Amino acid sequence: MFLSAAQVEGLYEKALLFAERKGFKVEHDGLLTALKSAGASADAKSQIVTFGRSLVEDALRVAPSSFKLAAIDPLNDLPLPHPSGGFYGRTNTGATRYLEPGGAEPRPVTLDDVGTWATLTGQMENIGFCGFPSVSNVPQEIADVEAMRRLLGASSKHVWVQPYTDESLKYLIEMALVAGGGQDELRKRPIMSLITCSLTPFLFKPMDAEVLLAACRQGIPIHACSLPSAGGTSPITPIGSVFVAAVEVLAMIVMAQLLAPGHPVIGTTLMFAMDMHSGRVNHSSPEALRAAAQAVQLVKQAFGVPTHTYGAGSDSPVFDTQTTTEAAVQTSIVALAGADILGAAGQFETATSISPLQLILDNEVMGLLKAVKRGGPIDDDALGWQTMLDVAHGGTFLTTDHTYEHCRDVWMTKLFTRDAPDVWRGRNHGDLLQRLEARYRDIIEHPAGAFLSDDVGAALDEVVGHARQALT
Amino acid sequence: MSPYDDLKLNVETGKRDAVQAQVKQALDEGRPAQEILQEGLVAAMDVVGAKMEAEEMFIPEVLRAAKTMEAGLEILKPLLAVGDMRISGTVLVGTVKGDLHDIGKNLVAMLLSSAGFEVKDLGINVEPATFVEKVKETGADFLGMSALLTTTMPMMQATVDALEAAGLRQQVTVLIGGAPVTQAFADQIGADGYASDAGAAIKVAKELGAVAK
Repeated sequence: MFLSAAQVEGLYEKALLFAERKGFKVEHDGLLTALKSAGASADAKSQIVTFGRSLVEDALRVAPSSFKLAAIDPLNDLPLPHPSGGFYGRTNTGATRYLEPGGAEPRPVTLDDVGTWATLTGQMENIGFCGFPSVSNVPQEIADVEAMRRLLGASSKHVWVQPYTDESLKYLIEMALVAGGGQDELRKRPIMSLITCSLTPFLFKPMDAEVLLAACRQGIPIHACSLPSAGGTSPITPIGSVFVAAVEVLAMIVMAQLLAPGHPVIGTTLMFAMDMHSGRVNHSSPEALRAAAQAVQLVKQAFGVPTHTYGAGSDSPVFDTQTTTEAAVQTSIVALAGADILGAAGQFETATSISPLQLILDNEVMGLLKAVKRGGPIDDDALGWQTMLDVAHGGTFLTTDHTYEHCRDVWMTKLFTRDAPDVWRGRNHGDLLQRLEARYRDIIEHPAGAFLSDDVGAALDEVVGHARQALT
Repeated sequence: MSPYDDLKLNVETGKRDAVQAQVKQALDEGRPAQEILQEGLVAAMDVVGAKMEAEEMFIPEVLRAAKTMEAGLEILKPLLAVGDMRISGTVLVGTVKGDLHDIGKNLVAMLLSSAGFEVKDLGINVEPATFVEKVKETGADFLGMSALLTTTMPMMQATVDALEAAGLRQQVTVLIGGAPVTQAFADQIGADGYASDAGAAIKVAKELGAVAK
């Protein structure tokens, strides 16, 4: 692991100290009042909230370590943590540019791209849920509402949503209520989760406070998200940056539990590091990767909630071999660090651009890593103990019953090839890029059908119509 | 060898006390304040700018050098005549409406300031109308807008449109930047310049300033 037990314990103690002494600024009177009533120390003038040790520990005791992110199709429900010790992938959210397969340059994201993105995600077995990129060809006041409508029309999976404004939040929740079957049903089976972010360091803005309050009111799970940039919004030393992310996530866990004890919260630490030459932030540097792994471990072990971080993506400005390499490294490190959700599938240019081909590749790499992580018991059967005793010295295992019984346990790739060169040429399967393009075409030409009834679709359209009327 | 070589090196390496002592010593020796400024402090920052562009210096080192230069300048200021301190231009900077991120914008502001620009920082979450009002009020040469969020980039377009509507677009050079911003986006919204990072912002501002003059 990336932190020792003693280091986790030490950082936990420091986090409690920080929450009690320094605290957090919350720029929302309603939330401040609610936190004060629930036992936090909140100063209306300075807007600083501090949490005493017992309050934090009580909150961590009631914060659930396991719960379910429901999907529109129950077959795609996501129990957390993953039942076989694996993880779930999720797509990029918020990118502005879209690289068409075969395209030379990314272009602005359109509403149709959201549909394509959701269609692809529907057939990615390792991508558990979908977010929407940032659409350019609709009025920006309702871009999130329009994108969510398109997502719900094309996806049978859980959706995660980052509201763009206070005003649009109401319509996004209305859509979740419509698609999720009403308030009680949505509470039981939350088909949507919401992102609430700190403004690092140690500040919570009104909109994120609104999201937190609304999520707790409706029983919608929260991805409590901190995005520190080491050297900019957090200490340049990776562990300092990890600490900032952890205490901000801790604050959101505590706030959620004070508002609604037992509310599901996912500790979401998206770690960046500032490039000290250019000032740009990146997430593929070794410092950011180490921080991502350490933050996952700290939040999971110290706070006991499911974790989520970037588990794909690249800082490369173009879709190339750097993109695929950095994404695979990110997946490997974060998966092995124990993250429950690996985000950012399909993205490059530090979350700004997305590529359907990279999404398909990330899905494959995540499948590989899930297979690596799949543990299982170490018993006589796993060892092949009897077979070892039976086999002749210098003999073979190929013909044994043990091999026969377990030969299908292995992970089968859908994209990579291990053919001998002549076989590969003979099959005419092309290189990886060509295979990715073929898979993309196959999915787009054979999309899965609609998942929501016409009635639900019409009701969603009505919500979008109201949003258009009110916000544009 | 220039009499200011040591001073320049001390500015570059951020030795504030040494720079202040050397500036005082130069004055005591009868050297003109304007000469100390140009051949010592400004020349040092030219080296720093070149080293930053060549990726030989890190941003925190550049900022330390800029602060050190300012410490020396404080001593000279009372002795400088109006016009001795050449200003490259006045720049308004701000993060666009809906966006609360200011590290990049602050970095650009600090570097512009150290490069001789007069900087007025409008802060974060700045409405297009506020940008317009401040351009009108200050007669700024440049307007620098920053956005970190992809969702707030359209506010740059809204601001450019608002400047156009107010009849001010031709009197101010519009520069944009921020992680998701690109040259193509700058072209699309009709901005005059785009900078991919803080160092580039200085270069672009100087180039566009020279063209404007």
